[in-house]
Amino acid sequence: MEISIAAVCGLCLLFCVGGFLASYIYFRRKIVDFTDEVCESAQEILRQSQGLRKGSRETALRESQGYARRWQLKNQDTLTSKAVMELDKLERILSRQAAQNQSEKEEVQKVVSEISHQLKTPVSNIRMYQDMLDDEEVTEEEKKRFEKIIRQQLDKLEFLVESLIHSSRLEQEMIHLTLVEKPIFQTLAKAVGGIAAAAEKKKIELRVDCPKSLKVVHDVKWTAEAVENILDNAVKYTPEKGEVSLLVKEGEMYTKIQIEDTGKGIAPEHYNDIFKRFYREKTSGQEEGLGLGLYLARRIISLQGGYIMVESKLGKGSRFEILLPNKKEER
Amino acid sequence: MYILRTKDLTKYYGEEPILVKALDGVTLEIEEGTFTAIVGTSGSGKSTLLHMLGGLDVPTGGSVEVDGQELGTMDRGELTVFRRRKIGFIFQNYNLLPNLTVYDNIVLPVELDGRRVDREYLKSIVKVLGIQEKLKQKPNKLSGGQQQRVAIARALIAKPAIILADEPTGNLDSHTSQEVIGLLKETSRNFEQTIVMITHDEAIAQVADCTIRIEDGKIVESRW
Repeated sequence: MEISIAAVCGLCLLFCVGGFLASYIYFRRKIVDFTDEVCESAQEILRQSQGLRKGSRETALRESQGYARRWQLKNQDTLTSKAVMELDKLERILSRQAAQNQSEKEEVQKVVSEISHQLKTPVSNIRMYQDMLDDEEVTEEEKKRFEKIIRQQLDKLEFLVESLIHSSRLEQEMIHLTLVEKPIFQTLAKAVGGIAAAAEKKKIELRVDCPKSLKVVHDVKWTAEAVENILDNAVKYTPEKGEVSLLVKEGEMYTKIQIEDTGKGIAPEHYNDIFKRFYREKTSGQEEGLGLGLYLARRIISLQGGYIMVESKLGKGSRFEILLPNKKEER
Repeated sequence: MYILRTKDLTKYYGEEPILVKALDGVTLEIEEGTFTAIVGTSGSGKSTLLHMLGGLDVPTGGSVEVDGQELGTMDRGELTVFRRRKIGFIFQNYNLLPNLTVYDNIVLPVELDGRRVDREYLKSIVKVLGIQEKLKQKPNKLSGGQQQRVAIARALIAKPAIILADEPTGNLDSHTSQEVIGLLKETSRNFEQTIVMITHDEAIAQVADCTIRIEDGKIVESRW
């Protein structure tokens, strides 16, 4: 009887140990399989990423050897699938960063090409008139006239170069925006001050409706420049005795600065074009400008987390709305 | 890099002689990290297109590819998991669950997938959207604009490949619409998130990086 009890206890113990060992081996196998799948997928993603340098991401995806296997693992309600899809997401993010670097390089090349295009005209004019000055048969009167033209072209060149440096500094974000909580009224006063004389010359009525105490977190200098650029256009393209008005309204997430004019308006198909670098409407004619004002304004506002919208009616006028986010000053 | 592509996408209803061509050969490509607006009047096919892009409806012909995977090759189960992990949605009428707090509404997609919530990411999202003070409240205590911002947070939290927004400002007044559109643009930029929005409002659409115009089921213009 005693031996039987001992035997039974021994058997139970054996089963328990056996069961424990079997479970251990089973779950260890599962974890090893899971880890193998994930590691294989990671390696596959790496291979695919390296293959990217040769061609498009889509081609690399399709030609990768493990593609079919990884496809089976995706979109399943399993742990392995979740891990593989997260790795996929990581690869996507890294690939995009690489592609972004490439497109930034191309963008810089484009800017360089645009700048040289803009500088060509005054430079070739200067050369042309300089060549004419070298002509011995030129009269004193003509000499004076040519020298005057050369000086004008040099002024234009200086203006161009300064504007381009200004714009490219903003582009490269070399300018550090100092965001402070200050009354927006003072910033707008600065901007209005810059165009008041031009407006008066054209007898354009300027109206400002802005609460004096309203504070907004913004860069005073650059925001004043952005607003001045829009006001400058408003005055330029509004006929004599027209109106330009400035209205500020505080919202929950944004503060809106609205600039409205009774100018010639902008066709809806050009709403986005006007913010492009060097864009000038065909009808701008003799008006001085490089076509950078609105481009810069958009950059400045965008760097502050805001945006600019425009609505216009041809022949009636335009309304520009600058939205600056209401945020707390960062200390 | 294109995160979303369609090729000759068609959706027809009915049969000849009464055949309705909701989509009639739409081919488009959307770059990752951009904010795209698909603009069209009522009946232009824009809602149908959005449903195709989100795998919520099956096309009659053509293909939709999201993040390198063709939706047409997946079965229902796979498509459900794919949508849960790869696609975020923002609806015109917010579609928040009224019995859950704002916080619970936001983290729902991640928790449904059995994943852990990225707390740091959640913090930055609610900060940008200005709803950090509202997390413990129920949706009925929030204004329309605030509810839509919660819906945006919910779409962002799972870091999907694309977010599809169906007339996100449709139920909002013009002032609130401007705020919501600004936030969509800001979140697209800040979190490098691809957002595709359909709208009938041209003025709103200009805020997007790219505008695609659709008419009678066809793309008539694509503008940057």
